[in-house]
Amino acid sequence: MYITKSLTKTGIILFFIYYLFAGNICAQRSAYSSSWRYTTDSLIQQLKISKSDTSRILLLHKIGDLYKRTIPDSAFHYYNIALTISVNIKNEKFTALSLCDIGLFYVDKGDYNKALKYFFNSLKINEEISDKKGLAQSLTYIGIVNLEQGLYDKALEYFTKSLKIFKEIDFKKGIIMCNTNIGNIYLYQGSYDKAIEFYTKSLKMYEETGDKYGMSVCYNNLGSTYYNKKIYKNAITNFTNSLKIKQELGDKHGISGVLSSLAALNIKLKNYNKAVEYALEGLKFAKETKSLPQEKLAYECLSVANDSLHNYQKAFEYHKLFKEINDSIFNEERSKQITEMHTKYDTEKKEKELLVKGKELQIQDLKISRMNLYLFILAIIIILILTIAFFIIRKNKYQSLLKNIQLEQILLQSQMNPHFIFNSLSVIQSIIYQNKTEFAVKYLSRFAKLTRIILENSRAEYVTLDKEITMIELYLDLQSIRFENKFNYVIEVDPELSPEMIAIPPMLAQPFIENSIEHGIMHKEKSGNIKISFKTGKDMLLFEVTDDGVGREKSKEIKEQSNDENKHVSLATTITQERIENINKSLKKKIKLDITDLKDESGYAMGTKVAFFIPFKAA
Amino acid sequence: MAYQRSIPLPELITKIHNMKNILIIDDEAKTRQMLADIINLNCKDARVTGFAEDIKSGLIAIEKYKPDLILLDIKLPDGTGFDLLTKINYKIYNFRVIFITAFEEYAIKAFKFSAVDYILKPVDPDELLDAIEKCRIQTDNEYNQKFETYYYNSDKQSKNKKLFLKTLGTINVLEIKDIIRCESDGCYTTFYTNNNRKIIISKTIKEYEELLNDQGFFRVHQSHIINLNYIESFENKNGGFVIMKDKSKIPVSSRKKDMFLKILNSSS
Repeated sequence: MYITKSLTKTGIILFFIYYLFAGNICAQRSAYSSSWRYTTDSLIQQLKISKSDTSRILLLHKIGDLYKRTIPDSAFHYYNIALTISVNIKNEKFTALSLCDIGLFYVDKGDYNKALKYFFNSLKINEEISDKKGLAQSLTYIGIVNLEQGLYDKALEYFTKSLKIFKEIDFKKGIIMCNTNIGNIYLYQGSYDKAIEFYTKSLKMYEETGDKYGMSVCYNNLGSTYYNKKIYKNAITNFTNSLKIKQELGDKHGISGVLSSLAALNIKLKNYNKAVEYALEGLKFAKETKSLPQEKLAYECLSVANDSLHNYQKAFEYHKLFKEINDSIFNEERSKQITEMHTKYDTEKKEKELLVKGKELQIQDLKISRMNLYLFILAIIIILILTIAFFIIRKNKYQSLLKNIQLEQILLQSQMNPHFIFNSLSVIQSIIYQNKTEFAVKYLSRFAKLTRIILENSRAEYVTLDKEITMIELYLDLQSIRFENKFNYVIEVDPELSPEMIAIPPMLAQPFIENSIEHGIMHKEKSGNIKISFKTGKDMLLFEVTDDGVGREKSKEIKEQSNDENKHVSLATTITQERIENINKSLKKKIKLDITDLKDESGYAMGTKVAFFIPFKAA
Repeated sequence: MAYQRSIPLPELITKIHNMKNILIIDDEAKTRQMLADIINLNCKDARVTGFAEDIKSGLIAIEKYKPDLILLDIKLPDGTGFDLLTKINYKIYNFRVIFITAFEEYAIKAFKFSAVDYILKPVDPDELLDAIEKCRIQTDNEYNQKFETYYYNSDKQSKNKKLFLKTLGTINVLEIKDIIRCESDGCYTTFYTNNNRKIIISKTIKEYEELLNDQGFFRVHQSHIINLNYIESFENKNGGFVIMKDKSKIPVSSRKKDMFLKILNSSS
């Protein structure tokens, strides 16, 4: 049962602590009485008069001892003053003593870590000054802290050590103290018979030394043991004995504890009214001493007892109070936990900071590597774009090259117009037929020469101007023979020009010359004239083909009337224009083509003029 | 022997066309003279009597000489030889025409469709004389049919071309669209038409391939030209067969298959 367990623990803790206080100072305990206030007052009076530090320390301790059971905070105050003075006068013995007293205060408060700090400091000092009694005392206190924390084996170790030393110096109080505490360990561990054995031993020794307080503790602890052993009759006897002594001594803490224990015991024995009585009494003392655990125990007993007495409302109210205190104690534990957590948190924070720093470094690394990746991707993209651009440019280049070749072919076809070839051959045939052998030979050789030049030129991008002139001359000559002086022609070259030094694209004008003859002049009744001229323009070669034929419009008209499917006329212009565009792609100064329809004053067509503006280019 | 079987005679040459009055229309004086010299020197029955150099003078010369035959250059300074013919009613004059051309491919193709006579420049004198002789002995019917076909094909408004086919005894003018397919048998070519006629011509299939390949025909096999409009289905079995609408099954040679399928896909 919950109530039983809590009773056992609280009861024992309280009693052994007060026992220890009792054993701490070698002061006369006879002064413990209901008139203790008078004693403290006189002691404080003495303190004011006293001028010796040593005596003052002794007085301070005495006052502290008197207060610690009633007003622990005051006791703490006096002990602290004693400690300060002891340190100031470098009295190790008193320093160790003060440290122990303060440590015990912290044990009472439940602050075991602080308590241990004080105890270990006193232990150190006692070791230095080889004060065996003090040393044993310090060890005992450390054992108590361990016991409190449930470290029973360690506690037993300390108690055994201190017991040995106490036996060596034959310090009876110490021996009894150790026995009692060892008994406590057995009680906690549930070895009740062993616990009873030790308690009984201690009790006997207390009786021998006449230490009533110790006796009361032993009775109380025996009561608790029997309570746990469920021998309630013995428990009652022991608790009652303890209570009697404590009432004699005026130990309010003790009284409240014992009363609560009795209340719990009576609940077990189902004497609920008696239990309520004890609990209320215990509560009174607990409140006086401001002992929360005692209060809690009292409320719990009251709640359970009233519940059993069917006073549910009271039971509920007590339970509420019990709950409140329990929560406040719990809260204290909580705050401790929070402190621990805080420490943990701080550590974690530091670790996290380190981690964050590490991560930042990682992130930086990552950023750098990512940047590298981006750079890499960028480089690839650039390379890709460059490659694509390269291929596109190359493709365009090839396309234009292909276009060039195609144009060349078309040009060749248009120059080497099969109709022209076969007609020329036909002319040669007829000349031969007429037995004009010499003329036939001349004509044939010219035809061969022209064919050769055309074949050569159609592959060249540029030819010298004189070569071009030769070609035009040959062509015009052959055509004029073919058409029996249907037209006259003249070729004019500006004397400033040196035709062998100038380069021009070959056969630009040839299709236009052919047009002039076959469409301009042939439609004319009279014989016509064709003029070819090469002039120097502004950084340009001006190349003109002029005829006095029927003009483009008339020619077109005739063409439309006829059924001729051969589109030679338009082809000449289109091909030449395309060619010029293509050549212009690689030229800064462009070649220009200009066709003019010549008219007289009355607007009558007088022929056509085709003009080329060709930038100079050295051959 | 009781009786003798009567054998049908081939069409008799009932009338030989007169060639005493020949007109040469050509824009080159030298060629004109040469042609005249060749004819006058080699042909007893033929005589060149007139010359012209273009359409304009040609029309006047026709009026003046009323020729039996005109040697007509296709390319004249003011138009084509065909332009000249459209400007007169040649039936009134009863002349025949032999075309002369240096190169004009389109013209040559047209001549072939209608089987009209033509010679190429520079002129081979034997060819010229053969052409004149052929022209002299052919019947009016044959000549007229050829020229009607030629006119028909040359008329830009007529969408369908006609093909002049002469067998031993008969003259056939087929509309191209009526031809389902051609099948080769050595030097002969058989035409199958959509009215179940079968015409055997003593010419190789190659000549017709050149004529028909831009008229919706395709030579699917060494021995077969088909009209793509008469395909019913294609079986991609045993190397591939085309089923025509007359249910004939035409093999497709493996060399032509890819091209054929490409054409089918693009036309469908």
